[in-house]
Amino acid sequence: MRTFIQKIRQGAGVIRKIGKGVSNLPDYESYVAHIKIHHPEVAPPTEAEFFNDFLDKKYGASARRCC
Amino acid sequence: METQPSTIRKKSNPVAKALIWIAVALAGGISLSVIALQRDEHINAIWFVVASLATYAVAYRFYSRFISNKIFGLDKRRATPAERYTDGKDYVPTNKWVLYGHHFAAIAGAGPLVGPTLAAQMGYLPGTIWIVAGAVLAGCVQDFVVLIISMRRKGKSIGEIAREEIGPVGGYLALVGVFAIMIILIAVLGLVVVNALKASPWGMYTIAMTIPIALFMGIYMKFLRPGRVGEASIIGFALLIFALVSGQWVADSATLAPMFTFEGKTIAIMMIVYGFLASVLPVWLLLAPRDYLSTFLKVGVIGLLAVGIFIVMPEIKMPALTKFVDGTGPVFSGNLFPFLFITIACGAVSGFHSLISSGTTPKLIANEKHANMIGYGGMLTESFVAVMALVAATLLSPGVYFAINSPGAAIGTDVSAAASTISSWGFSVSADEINSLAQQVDEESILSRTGGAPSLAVGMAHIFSKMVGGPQLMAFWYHFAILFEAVFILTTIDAGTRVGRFMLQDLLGNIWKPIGKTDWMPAVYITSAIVVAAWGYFLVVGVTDPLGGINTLWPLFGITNQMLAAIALIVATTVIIKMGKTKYCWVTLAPLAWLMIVTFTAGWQKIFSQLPKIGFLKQAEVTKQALTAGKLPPTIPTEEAAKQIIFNNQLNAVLTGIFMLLILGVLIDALRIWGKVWFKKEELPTSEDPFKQTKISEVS
Repeated sequence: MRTFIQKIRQGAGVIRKIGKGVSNLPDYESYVAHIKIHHPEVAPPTEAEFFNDFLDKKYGASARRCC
Repeated sequence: METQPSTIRKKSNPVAKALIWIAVALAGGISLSVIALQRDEHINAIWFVVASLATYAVAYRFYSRFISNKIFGLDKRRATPAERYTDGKDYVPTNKWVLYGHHFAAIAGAGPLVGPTLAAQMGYLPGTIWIVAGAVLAGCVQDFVVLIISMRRKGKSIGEIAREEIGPVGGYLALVGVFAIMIILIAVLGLVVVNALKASPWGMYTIAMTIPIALFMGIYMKFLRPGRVGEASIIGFALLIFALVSGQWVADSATLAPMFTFEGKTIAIMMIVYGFLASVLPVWLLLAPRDYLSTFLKVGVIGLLAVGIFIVMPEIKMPALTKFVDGTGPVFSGNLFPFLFITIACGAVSGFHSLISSGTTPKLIANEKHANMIGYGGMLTESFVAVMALVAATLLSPGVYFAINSPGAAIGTDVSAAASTISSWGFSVSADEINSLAQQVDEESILSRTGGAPSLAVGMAHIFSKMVGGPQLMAFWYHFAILFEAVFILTTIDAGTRVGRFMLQDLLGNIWKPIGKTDWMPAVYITSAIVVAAWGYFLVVGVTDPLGGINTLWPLFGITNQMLAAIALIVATTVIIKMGKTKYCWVTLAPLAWLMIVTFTAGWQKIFSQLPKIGFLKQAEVTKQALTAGKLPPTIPTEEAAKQIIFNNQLNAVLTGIFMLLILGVLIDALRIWGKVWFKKEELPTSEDPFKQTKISEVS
């Protein structure tokens, strides 16, 4: 039973990751990991700040839209 | 995390491989000849699917590899921008399939659905050939080559690349061109939605409900559960389905239905107000949540349609060619050449994709070798969407197709009169047939619902209801399809207005600095107002145009979109020539030449044709004569309307002329560069990033 639940969790994680990728959502955890390795002196943003920055950028001056 | 067992590669057998490719090519060839030669009986849609998929497979395997190997030398050892500039945000090495999904979702819009539906008036054959051949030889090539060029330049935009590789003049002209096409695109897509929602309380209510749903999702993602897009989208989707179901209650209620029944002009004005609000409000509140909802809906419905066509295997009722190849058709005017090739723009080749291929996607590619799948393969998928749209339009009986898609000026507003007019064209249909279909989909009328969306929705409802629910659910599926089209068209309208506003601020900021400041509210309001006024004008004119606005606006959009593709191909050709690969420059030069011939012939005819149905100037002249003689035709009710028609046609003629000059300007500027390489034998530097060895050992 336990492994079954684990498997479902794992599957949900994969689906979530694909969904995020397809809609080009940035992954907060991996960004924090990146900051910690490459720029240890910088304090990483909170998840809300990170998301807001992303939205500003995505719909900002360099936004694209297709037919 | 478990580690995946490493896949053991079987030794490839060259003979078996060759046999498989010969089989694929044969399957494609046989299907194509069935499509092309079948005359007397109805042909099954599955032939279209096989013919297109086999052609795509061969083109992908051989032509895309030819381009990547011979011209660009794509190299899996060469570090991509995602690796060189990795920052965890904009530059992130991404899984090939996930990125393919993202790229496809970003390029697919309403264009490949509407164009083929309109083009079906000439029969299924010309549209199918252009969608498939145009994609593999022009559309995919453009998307793929632009993606590679941008990937080799830090993911720069096509405008920047044009400036660097051609010069400041070409670059600036390209920017103006992009802004202009944006305005026309928003107006024409807005018109498609207005025509789908007018006098339709079910549709109007459901679409109106998407706004509070988006607002709720926005607040959820901002305050309740920051950044939880997945959760918000699932809740949003559930609410959307509720809005769809409750739409029927609204439509059937005597008190509620009138509250959601509007004339076209009123809906157009609502849309203009909405566009303005979306442009000035913070994005998290309205724009972003709608965008997510629409992405999931889009990918889901397109997948569902593909499954549906495989399961239902509908028969195509439209003949291979209709008599309207001579240009006298009611849906759009003009001969097969050049007008078919601009009516189907997206789906065969779309200039808009060059903006996406040089935007987000090149910054996310993990390995150069993935570009084939993402750039070339992404466009193949879009082309397949266009094939499916063509199937959905041509499975209707031709009489019904023309009843939905012909403007009132061509068939009148009375059902029995319309039925006899259409039957006189050789497509027999009865008033009963038209009325009962309207009843089935729970709409007041399906007559003259031009723009493509309603007839596509009827076709899709046909397929979906055969899979789930039968005739009882026809109305549900019809409105589901309308919802799907309207939601992502509205997402193009609101985000497009915002993008247009930024472009305008950028362009005007060169003249007067403060107007370029994106955080100065007066500048934001002024430029947003200018942008909505620009597309709003074309939209209102299209809605009130008694001759059917789609007739005028869609060709204008098609011409501009194909011209944008020409700009992208000019830039691509310039880069290939500068790389010293002149020997292979026909890869982009051939589609470029074709697009120049098509758009310039179409543009010339739109301005100067002596047939008032086609030529803008002639139409203005004829209307002017009628006005001064006091003999206005019944389709033009007032003097005001006549004056409006005269002015609009003159304006459209001027616009078309400006577009043509714009492209000529870019081409001449580029020819200057080509000449330097070809005749003066100069070696010009390209702005390509130098080679750098990748450190990523194996990217999944």
